[in-house]
Amino acid sequence: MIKIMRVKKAFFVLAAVAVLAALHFASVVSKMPNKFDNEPSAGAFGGIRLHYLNVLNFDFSRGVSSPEGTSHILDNFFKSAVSGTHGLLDFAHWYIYSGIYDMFGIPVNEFWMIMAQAIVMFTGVLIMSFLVYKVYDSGIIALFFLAMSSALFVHHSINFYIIPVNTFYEGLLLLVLYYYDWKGPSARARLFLLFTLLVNSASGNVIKLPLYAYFAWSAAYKRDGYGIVRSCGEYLVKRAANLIVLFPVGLAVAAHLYVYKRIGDSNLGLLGWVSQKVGIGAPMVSRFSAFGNTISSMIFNKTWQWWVFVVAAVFYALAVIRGRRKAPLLLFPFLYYAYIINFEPNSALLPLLVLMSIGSAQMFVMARGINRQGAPEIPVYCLLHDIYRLYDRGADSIGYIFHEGGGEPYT
Amino acid sequence: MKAAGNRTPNYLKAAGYFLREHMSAGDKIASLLDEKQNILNEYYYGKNFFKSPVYGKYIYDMRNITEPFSPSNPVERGEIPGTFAFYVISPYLYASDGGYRAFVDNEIRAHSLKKAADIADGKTVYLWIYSSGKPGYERVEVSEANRLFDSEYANLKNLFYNRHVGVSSTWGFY
Repeated sequence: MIKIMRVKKAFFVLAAVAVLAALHFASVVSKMPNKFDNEPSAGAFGGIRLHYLNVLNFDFSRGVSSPEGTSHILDNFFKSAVSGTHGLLDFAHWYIYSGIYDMFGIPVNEFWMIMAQAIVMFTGVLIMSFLVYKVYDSGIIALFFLAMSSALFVHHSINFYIIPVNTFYEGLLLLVLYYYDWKGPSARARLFLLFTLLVNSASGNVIKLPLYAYFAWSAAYKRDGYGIVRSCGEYLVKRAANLIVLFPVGLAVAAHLYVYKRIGDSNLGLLGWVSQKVGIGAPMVSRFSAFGNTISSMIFNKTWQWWVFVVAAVFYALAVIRGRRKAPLLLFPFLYYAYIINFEPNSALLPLLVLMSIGSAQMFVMARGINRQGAPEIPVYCLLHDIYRLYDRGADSIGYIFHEGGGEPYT
Repeated sequence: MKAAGNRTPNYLKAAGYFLREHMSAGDKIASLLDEKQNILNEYYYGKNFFKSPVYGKYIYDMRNITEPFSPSNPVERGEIPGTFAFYVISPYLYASDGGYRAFVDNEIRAHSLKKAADIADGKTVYLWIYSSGKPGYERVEVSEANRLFDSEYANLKNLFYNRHVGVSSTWGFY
C-alpha cells in the first residue's frame, strides 16, 4: 500500500513537472523576441565570434596587448572569451550553443539561441526546486517554487542576457552544497564543490556568494543542527582543510580584477560593468546613500518586489519565531536582499524567489504542524493567531512571542 | 508605419539576406538606421559595426576593420569611400525626421543611387535598400527571405565575414 502511494506521488510530481515544463516553453515561445533587437543581443555575437578565432594563438612577441599582434583582444581567443560584460563566462555559453547547433545543422539564429537559454534556465530552476524539496521536505512547496520561478524568469529573462545560464550554474552549486559533508568530504565531492564555486565566482553569480554560504549552512543545519557560529567552528576552524573553498573564489575574483585592470580599459568585464553602473571605489558613505535611495525608492514607488518581499519576510519571521531555534536566520534575508538589489536589481529576482519559497515552506510546515515524528504540533491557524495577538497585546506581544509563545499549544 | 517592436517581422534579417546575396565580401554598407539596430545588424550583415563620426548621427557604416586592426580612426584617415555599395534606409525615419530625409535625399542625388530593394511584409515596407551599382530592383518578402537566411547563412561557415563581428559587444557599445 505504501509502495503504491509512493508510486502515485512520484507520478503526480513528474506529471506536474511535465505540465510546468510545457507551460515554461510555451510561454518562452510566446514571449521571445523574433529578432536580435535589444541591448544584450550583441552578447550572443561575442560568443559566436569566438568560433572564428584561433584557440592556440599565443604570439605575445609584440607585447601582451599590442594592437598589431595576435595577442590583442580582437584576435586572442581567451582574452575575447573572458571579456564579456557580465562575467568571465558571459560569452562561453553562446559559444557552446552555437557550436552544438552548427554541429547538428540547426540554424544559429534568434529562435534557437533563446531556446537554448530557456532550456538551461528551466534546468537550473528545476535543480533548485529539487533542493527546495530536499531542504524543506515539501513537494508542494518545491512545485510552487518551480511554477513561480519559471514564470517569473520567462517574464523577466527571455532575452539575450546572461541571467538564465547563471541560474543553471547556481543550481549546480546548490546541489553540490546540499550533499557536501563538511565533516569529511570525499575527494570527489570536494572537487565538484571547487569546480562549481569557480564557475559561479567566474560568472555574475559572484555577487551572490553570501546566499550560497547561507544555503550551505541551511543544508548543514538540517543534518547537524549547528547554529551559524558553531558551524563556523565545526566546519572551518576545526576542519581548516575546508577553507580550500576560498581558493576558487579568490582565483575568480583575481581574474575579474585582471580583466578589469589589464585587458583593455575599465569598461571591460564584470567589474567594468559594475563600475559603469554603480562605480567601483566609491566611498562607503555614497554606497550607503545609494542603498538608502534604493530602499526608499522601492518603498515610495511601491515597487512590487519590495512589497512581496515584505510579506514573505513577515511570514518568514513568524514561522522562524515559532520555531525559535532558527532566529538568526531572520537577519540574513533582509541583509542579503538589500545587498544584492543595490548591485543589480535583476539579479535580486532569484534570491527573492528563494526567500519566498523558504518563507512559504516554513509557514507551510509550521501550519501543517508536522514535527520530525510526523505528529501534529500546531493547528493551521496558528500564524494568523500570532498576528492577532501582536495586534491585541501591543508591545507585550513581542516578549510573548520571543519568550513564551513559541511552543505553546493552541486549542 | 509601425515602429520596430517585438512582434514586427524581422525585416533586418531579410535585408541581411538581400545584401548577402548581392554584395561582395569587401563591400561596405551605409546602414542608415538607428544605432541599436546597426549594432545588432552585425549578425544580419555578417560585418562588424563601425560608427562613423563624419556623418554625424545619421549614418553608420558597416565595414571590415583592416587587418591588422588599426586603433586609429579610419574615417579620419580617409579610408572610408565616399560612395558605399549599398545604403539601407528606414522609410519610417524618412517620413518622421526632416533632417534624416534631407540627408538621404542628398546622398541619393550626390551618389546617383538607385533603389535596389523594398524589404516588405504584405503592404508594409520596412526598409529601402539603395545601391550605387546596378543590381536592379527587387521586392523582398520578409518571411521568405528570413527562411532562406536561416537555411543558407545561419551557420558558422557563412554567418560572419570576419572575426571582428561582435567586437562592439565586447566593449558594451550598446
